[in-house]
Amino acid sequence: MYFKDSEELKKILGGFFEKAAADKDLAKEFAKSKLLIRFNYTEPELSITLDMTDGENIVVTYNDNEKVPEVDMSMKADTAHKFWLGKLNLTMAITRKLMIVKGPVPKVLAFIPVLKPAYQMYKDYLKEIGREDLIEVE
Amino acid sequence: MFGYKGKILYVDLNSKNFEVRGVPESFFREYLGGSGAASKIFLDHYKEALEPFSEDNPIIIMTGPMAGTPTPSVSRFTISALSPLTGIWGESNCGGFFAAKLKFAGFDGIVITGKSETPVYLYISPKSIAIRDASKVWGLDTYESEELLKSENGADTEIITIGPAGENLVPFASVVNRRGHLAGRTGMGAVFGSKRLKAVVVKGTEPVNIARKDEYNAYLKEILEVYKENMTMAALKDAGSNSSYDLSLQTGDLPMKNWSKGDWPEGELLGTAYYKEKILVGIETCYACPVACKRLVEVKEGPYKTEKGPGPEYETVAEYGAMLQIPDLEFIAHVNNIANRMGFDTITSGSTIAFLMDMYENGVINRDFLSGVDLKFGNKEAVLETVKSIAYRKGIGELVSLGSQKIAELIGDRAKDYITTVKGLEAPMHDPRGNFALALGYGLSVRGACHVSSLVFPISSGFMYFPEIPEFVDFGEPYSEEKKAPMVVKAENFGMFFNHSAIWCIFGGSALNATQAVTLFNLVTGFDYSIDDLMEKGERIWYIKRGIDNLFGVGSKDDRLPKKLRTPLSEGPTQGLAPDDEKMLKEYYN
Repeated sequence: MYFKDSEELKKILGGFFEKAAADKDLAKEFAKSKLLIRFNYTEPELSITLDMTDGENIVVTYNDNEKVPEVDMSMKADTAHKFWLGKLNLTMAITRKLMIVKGPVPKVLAFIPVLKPAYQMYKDYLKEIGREDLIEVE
Repeated sequence: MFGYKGKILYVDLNSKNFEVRGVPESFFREYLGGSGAASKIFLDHYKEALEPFSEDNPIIIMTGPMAGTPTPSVSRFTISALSPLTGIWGESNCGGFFAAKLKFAGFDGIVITGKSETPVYLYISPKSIAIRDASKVWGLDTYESEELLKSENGADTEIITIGPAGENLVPFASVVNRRGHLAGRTGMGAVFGSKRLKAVVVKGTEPVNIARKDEYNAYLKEILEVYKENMTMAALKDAGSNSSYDLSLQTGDLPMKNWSKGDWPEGELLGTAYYKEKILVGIETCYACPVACKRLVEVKEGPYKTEKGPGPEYETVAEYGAMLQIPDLEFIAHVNNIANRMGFDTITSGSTIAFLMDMYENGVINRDFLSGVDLKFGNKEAVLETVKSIAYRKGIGELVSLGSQKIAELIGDRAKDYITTVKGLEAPMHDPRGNFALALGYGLSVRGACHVSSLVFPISSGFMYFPEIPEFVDFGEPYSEEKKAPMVVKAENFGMFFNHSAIWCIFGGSALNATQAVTLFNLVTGFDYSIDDLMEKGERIWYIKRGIDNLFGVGSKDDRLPKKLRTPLSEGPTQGLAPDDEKMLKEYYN
């Protein structure tokens, strides 16, 4: 496991989403999707919800049971980490059920193009917080 | 007999005679159907010094045992012959509605030899078989030809036809059903043209018998639930084969600028959202397929105004977009319409144009060589002029209609740095520099560089998964040569059953695992094969096809990738990476 506990996962992956939310241009690009998406992580456990329904901003919440997500993605935290590093074959992960996606496929497909800058941003963010050790993964 | 009809129609266009031959079940137990059966039939017809346009080159049209049943994504047919593009085994498979109708007419397949002196078409129904005059449709494009033949023979017919490209012997001419279902690759349309065979018209309503019907019906319900839950099926339903475009662009799967570029920001304009916004007007499907991945498009106004019709598939978007550096879906829809009407392959034509552009921009050839056309990357008008001239082989069309390999032979050694063929066939739009298994798959492919010649591509790119076969579960990291050879061997063997003989569509079929596919095959045919049994049958078919290539002088020495596909890119997701195909081939042959 790349993350020792939920707290570390929240700090690193949650922190990354919060950084993306603080970048107004990037947030606006992401929020064009108007998605309300929830990532349910296991090993360790945490759920992160990204609310982009206003079309302008990303609102990040944790273990949020009030908002009803339009798209729900479940995976191990390690799978998510590899994904944001750009080192996961997304198609293969979905086919092999390493990532379980529930929700309208058109919305998910439409979200893919905006992810491109996020991969490099995640690497930069890991360096920024002194966690270069997490960049090289098997 | 179950699944199979037990009959193949043999037609001799020299004598205008035909013969209906019964086929014993033992034949299908060994060669299964589709191009598996066709490879054995071809071998039986083999003669020394056979040429693609000689009268003895047989056109072999074969269905699989499940065509015409409600089994999803499998009512397909293959067309095989000696290829005029490559000079070796040629085959192309196609969905649409023709395969089911041929079964309903009472036949598993058709073998056509000889040459007619005048244009003809073949009419087949359970009551009547005839070789009819086609002079009225000769010269018409595929849309016009199908329309006229339907008006003459009835709306309940299914038709495959060639267009002007096939008539004029363009070596990458295709055969077309319902405007947008194409047997596109290796020039089967030109073999039709060489025999002056414009079309095959079929009619019939005889159902296909299913061996274990009650069990099949119950199992089919389960399978349809599998389709409903599968994410790839949902993506295909939503955005067609171009649903993979955005990911291909991001991951380095998409070749750009004749395989020489790794990053292209404007490429986003060819993705799913733009396809829907700019050109999409509807969807279509193939017989008994719940996926419905075919797109209908229209360009209502502007310089590339295009009638409502079949839309460009991913391969066409990639070829005429990324390869030629044209980020304009309306333009691509327009070009696709021309290629469908004229009846030629967009992969070979697009790659050949990219090959010429690359050599032109690098000073290997000059404008005179291109009949005065300024064929530079991104020049839409030059591409349009070229595309319009291919089928009639006029001006620059005469040159492009040769295909890359023959053009390279005209130029000599300097072309080697720019060509993208294996065994004479241009590589499709999936880059092996990000997927080393595919490098080995392209090299070994029987018909030349191809992503559907086995199951290497769908498995290594991740949308197909057969957990029952260990070599498909763990085949190493994508950028490593490790574990690729055993995976490729199994992908060839199982592929000969799966998408070549049973003829599952690699898209629609990818909802299934191996057990489900084999179960459906057994329930329809009444056979009792295991996965291993079908691996064994598949291996034999693979060797027959490779053996046919050997007869025409092509062997293991030809299993190498061209330099372009082995040269690392200096940018993009696969920057610095290149497969060592020699290393993988060594392991494969050991």
